[in-house]
Amino acid sequence: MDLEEKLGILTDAAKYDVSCASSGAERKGQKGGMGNAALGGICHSWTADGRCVSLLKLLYTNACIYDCSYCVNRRSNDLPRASFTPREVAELTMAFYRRNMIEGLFLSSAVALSPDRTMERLIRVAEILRHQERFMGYLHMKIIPGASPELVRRLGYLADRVSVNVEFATARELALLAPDKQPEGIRRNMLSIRERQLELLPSLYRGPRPPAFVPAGQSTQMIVGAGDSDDREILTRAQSLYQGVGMKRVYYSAYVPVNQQAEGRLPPPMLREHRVYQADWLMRFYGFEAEEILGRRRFLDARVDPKCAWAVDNYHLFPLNVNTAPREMLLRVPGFGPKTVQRILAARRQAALSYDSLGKTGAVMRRACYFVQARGRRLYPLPEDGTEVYRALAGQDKEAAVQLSFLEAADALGV
Amino acid sequence: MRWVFDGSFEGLMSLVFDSWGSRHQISEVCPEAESESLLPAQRPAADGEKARRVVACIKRRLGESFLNMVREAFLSARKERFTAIVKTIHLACQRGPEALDLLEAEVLDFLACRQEVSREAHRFLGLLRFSQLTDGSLLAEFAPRHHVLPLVLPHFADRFPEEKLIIFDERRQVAGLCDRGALQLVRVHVLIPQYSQGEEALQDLWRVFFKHLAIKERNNSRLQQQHLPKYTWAHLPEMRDMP
Repeated sequence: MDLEEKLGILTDAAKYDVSCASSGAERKGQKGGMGNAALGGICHSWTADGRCVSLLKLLYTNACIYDCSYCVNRRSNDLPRASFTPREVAELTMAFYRRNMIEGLFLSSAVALSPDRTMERLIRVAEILRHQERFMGYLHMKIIPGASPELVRRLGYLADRVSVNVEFATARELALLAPDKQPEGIRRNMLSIRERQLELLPSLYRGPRPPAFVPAGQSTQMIVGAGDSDDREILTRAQSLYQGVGMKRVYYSAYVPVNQQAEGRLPPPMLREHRVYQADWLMRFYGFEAEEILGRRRFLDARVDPKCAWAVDNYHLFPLNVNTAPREMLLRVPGFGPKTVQRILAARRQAALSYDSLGKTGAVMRRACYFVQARGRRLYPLPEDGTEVYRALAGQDKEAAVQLSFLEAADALGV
Repeated sequence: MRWVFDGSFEGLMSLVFDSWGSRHQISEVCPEAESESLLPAQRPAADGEKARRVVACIKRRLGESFLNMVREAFLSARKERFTAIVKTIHLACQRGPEALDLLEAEVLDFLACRQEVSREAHRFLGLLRFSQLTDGSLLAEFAPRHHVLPLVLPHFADRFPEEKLIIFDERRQVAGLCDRGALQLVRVHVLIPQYSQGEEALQDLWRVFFKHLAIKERNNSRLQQQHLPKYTWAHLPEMRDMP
């Protein structure tokens, strides 16, 4: 099999892992080596589905001993199978990196022979890159669920980021859809990384700085819409991962039913994935708790984004006075992002803001207008209750309008 | 009042000195090459000493980071960039660095210019593509809207400390050279690259990877184009042959 064919097969096999970030590590270039790492990450291209290409995303092999029903690479699928050698992966990475096509490598693998045997191959690739090629760029390495702690630790000293996918929000779904993967093994892997990170916190050692261990932290992925979990289970699981094991990012991936006949496939639940991401953002950058976002719901509202939904539910708290409201509350106004809030806080230290100047801070006033006032001025007449606001906001959400009409059309066709 | 200068950074800084105290009377600041109006204009000669004093004053009173923002805004291709720079410096010298928090028109223009430049520079950190030439050096060509070459060159010098790099801005006919850490900008009119053998095969591999990475069920070319505007396609091996 030639390299081109292998590359095609093992890219196809890797593409359902949605993680793409090259952020979180900062490293200068070094004489005699090649590469550096930029803290914010760098995107190098965007594929036809609009997802960014930052890392060379590959599977080391797609020959799997497991038979997970959601996965394209499961043992019982009749697919062309291929494996790289460690050298091949390292050379491809260096050649693409030198031409600035990628920020680095994201290497995952099917489980070949055993979790530990597979991990050893991945470690070999990372060792060639770091020690022989003196590669200083970004490395995101997958941990094979259930791999032994010594191997996880060795990989952690070579990689910038490591990830082990929880796959599903609940153990119930994992048992049903990926019976070979043990929730305990996945949890142990995540915790052992966390513990090592905490041991190396700057406040805990004296003397010279120890070598970096997973400097960009760990991430994970949950599939949305393959099993029966609701958004509440997904978001509370994500929250516990952020808080419990210091997860840097949780990725969500709308389930593509790869193991059904192409004609009968449902479209991936893109709108649901989109709403879950928006809710995730609210937890990470806006100070929301999962409970608050959902209120009494099991699923996020499809027609308006979760921040609008929260604001409508809590309409009695508004309108806020932008000249006096605290930062935490300003962040909860639909149409205000962290940058807008920062500008408002800075500007109001200089002079009181007028209602008309709010647009200049970057605020999206067609959403924010229902929730703010300044120096006594506000939208007139302000609706009395939330339902009218809800209708107006739902009318603005183009994304939802397109997707919902698509779903309704699919319903009508009976697919 | 219109103010016209020679187009250099030094010329602009020296103009800041000469136009001191007349912030409200400045209608436009533009370089000689872009001056189209026949209306009378002030044309002070560039003066190195005045420019040095202005730069020192910005550094001392407004800080190094403010000066860097001025340098970035200067690289913008927007028409109003110089007017915004001069007026914002005047305002900030009166009110201190907090002037950037004001929602005044010239400040918003200044910040917008600067942000566009730094965004485009960041975009090309990812979108520049190098090809190996017969002598082993690496060449990247691009046509940025703003003059971002001075901002991207140091990044690649750090990233590839053992390589000889040429980054060519086609639109401005300027090349950035980097030879094992030593940087310079030179004017280049024509460039006839001789690519080394195997470059085409490597780009084919890249295209294979790129094509296979997309998930058909999620196709969204509008989103793709939003991130990857068409003016960048000509220099991307993965997009070059797209309609």
